[in-house]
Amino acid sequence: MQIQIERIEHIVHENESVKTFFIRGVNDPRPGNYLMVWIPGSGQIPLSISSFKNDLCGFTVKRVGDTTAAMHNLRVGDLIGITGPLGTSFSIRGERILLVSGGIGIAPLLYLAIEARQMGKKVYAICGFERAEDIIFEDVLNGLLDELVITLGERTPLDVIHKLYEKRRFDHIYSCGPEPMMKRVFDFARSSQLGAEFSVERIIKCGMGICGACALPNGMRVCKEGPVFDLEDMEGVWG
Amino acid sequence: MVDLSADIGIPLKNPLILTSGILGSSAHLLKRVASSGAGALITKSITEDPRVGHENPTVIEVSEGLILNAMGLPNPGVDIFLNELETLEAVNLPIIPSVAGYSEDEFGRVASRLEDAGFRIIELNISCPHSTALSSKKVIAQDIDKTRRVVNAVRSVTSLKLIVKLSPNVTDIVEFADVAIKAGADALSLINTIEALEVDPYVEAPVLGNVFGGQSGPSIRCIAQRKLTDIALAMWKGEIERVPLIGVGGVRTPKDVFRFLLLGADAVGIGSSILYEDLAIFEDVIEGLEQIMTDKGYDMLDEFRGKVISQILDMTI
Ligand SMILES: Cc1cc2nc3c(=O)[nH]c(=O)nc-3n(C[C@H](O)[C@H](O)[C@H](O)COP(=O)(O)OP(=O)(O)OC[C@H]3O[C@@H](n4cnc5c(N)ncnc54)[C@H](O)[C@@H]3O)c2cc1C
Ligand SMILES: Cc1cc2nc3c(=O)[nH]c(=O)nc-3n(C[C@H](O)[C@H](O)[C@H](O)COP(=O)(O)O)c2cc1C
Ligand code: FES
Repeated sequence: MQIQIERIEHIVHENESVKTFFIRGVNDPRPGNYLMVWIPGSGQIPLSISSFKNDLCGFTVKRVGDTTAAMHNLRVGDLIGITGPLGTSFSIRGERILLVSGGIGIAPLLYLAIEARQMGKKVYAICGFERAEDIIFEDVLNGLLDELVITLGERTPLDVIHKLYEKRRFDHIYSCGPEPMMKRVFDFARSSQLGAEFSVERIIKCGMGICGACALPNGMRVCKEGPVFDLEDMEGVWG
Repeated sequence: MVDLSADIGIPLKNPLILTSGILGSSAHLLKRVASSGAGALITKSITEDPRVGHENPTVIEVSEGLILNAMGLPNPGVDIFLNELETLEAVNLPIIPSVAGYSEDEFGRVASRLEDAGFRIIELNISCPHSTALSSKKVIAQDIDKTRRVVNAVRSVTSLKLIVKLSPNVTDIVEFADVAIKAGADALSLINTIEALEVDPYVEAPVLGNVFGGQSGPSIRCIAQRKLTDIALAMWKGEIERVPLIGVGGVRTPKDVFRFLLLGADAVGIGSSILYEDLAIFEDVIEGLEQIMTDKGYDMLDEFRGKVISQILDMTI
């Protein structure tokens, strides 16, 4: 897939280290898909799509290193190179779904939540953040979800998932966040015999399935056969 | 049933080889490609020490069939790679490690490690066009003297079978083929990527992180065919010694493989086209090749291998 140049239409400051950028020209993305975003002179990185409405595609970026820092310095009107939408998407299976995120992992799940609510599904979420200052999307999620639980610091989503399950009896889980957290969500889903899907991160180089940089131990490529994998796929990685 | 067996110094069940640098950087993926129908797998090029490679963008599709890359030889280094490859013991297929390096000694040391680990055949990648920052140096395969020295160095420290991978970015590739063979190459593979660059007209900047890269994919097939033909003609004429040839560059379809075989290739590498056909390419191409051979009444590759080279020879005599 070729790089197309797009103009940044709008930028939202979510908090001191997270911004959401909006561009046009992304064709029919599905929740879970990602873009390879090229910032001329500063690199090219994978970023999940966090919303798509009226032809405006949003992606939400946490500043962690050089390329994300360069991204944060961009202004409305600046040009970036986009490849995508790429990769697999969430199936949106289940009628009562649970989202489990850690940190910036909420980004792809926001778009999923919007779509699932539009389809009339019940959507619950447990979102973990390090500190209160790190919380993002709280207002939009509160307006959207049937229940939002936010955990901070030591208390993680896994500390509340059992209780929420007793209360809500969700039937499918979608998760994105630090891998140790997702592995525990995987264990929970397995033991509760629930379906689950995970948005997995690896270093993405080519983003086209040919270089092999993003391979998982089961031989699957995160850039092409992921980033969204279902529980069965992840058996060979976390099982 | 047609017989697809081929020989590049070691026997292959079919002439299709996963070319170096495509999916070959992880044992997990190699295992998967091994069951996809290929006749042999060449790994990502391995250096003595780990290398992270160049900044992204490292691979771009400029247009359908025209791919540029400047990976910069990212690899975990020979020690870690050997550990990974140990898990591949169950794979019932020749695995050909590709070796890269920055000096004769490095090539020699890495080759020796691979020989000690039980490998019998390796490919020497002396032709990656973007292994240094901003491709500031000529590559080994663009320098006759260095080509001779590197192949010699490896030849003198191992009895491994050596495939030497040549660069198309030279005036006379036959000269390099000759030198590599005289220095001890048992087979040649060609071509590596063609020096290339892309610039974006909107942001007015080069696109690849390393600025300079190499072109691959179906857009280079006819160039690869020409280079292969130059060498095959010299071999058929007896001007240089005859060794097995692995044709690489832009192969996507059964017809493409058939073309390379007509031009004297003993085996054919498949790389960038995996972008379009994914791993199914190996089985699809084998099936198609069998069909072409059946339709034409050929039972084995040697019945038509090099046929077009003979034809060209007749014209030039
Ligand atoms: C499919 C996918 C979707 C992602 N979605 C988002 C998102 O929506 N929002 C967001 O903020 N981040 C997302 N990331 C992570 C984001 O790509 C990295 O934070 C970014 O690449 C870091 O680049 P950097 O130069 O700023 O940092 P660096 O200094 O290069 O590295 C900082 C951290 O990012 C990781 N990283 C670096 N380069 C890559 C790469 N090419 N691919 C993957 N990880 C890398 C490193 O391992 C390191 O832990 C996603 C990653 C993947 C694989
Ligand atoms: C992403 C990528 C990585 C590559 N890495 C290597 C490498 O590590 N060693 C090597 O000898 N050739 C490498 N090559 C070159 C290929 O092996 C091959 O010679 C070239 O791409 C032409 O074949 P193709 O058109 O079928 O891809 C690489 C090519 C690509 C596209
Ligand atoms: S990043 Fe190259 S195969 Fe996935």
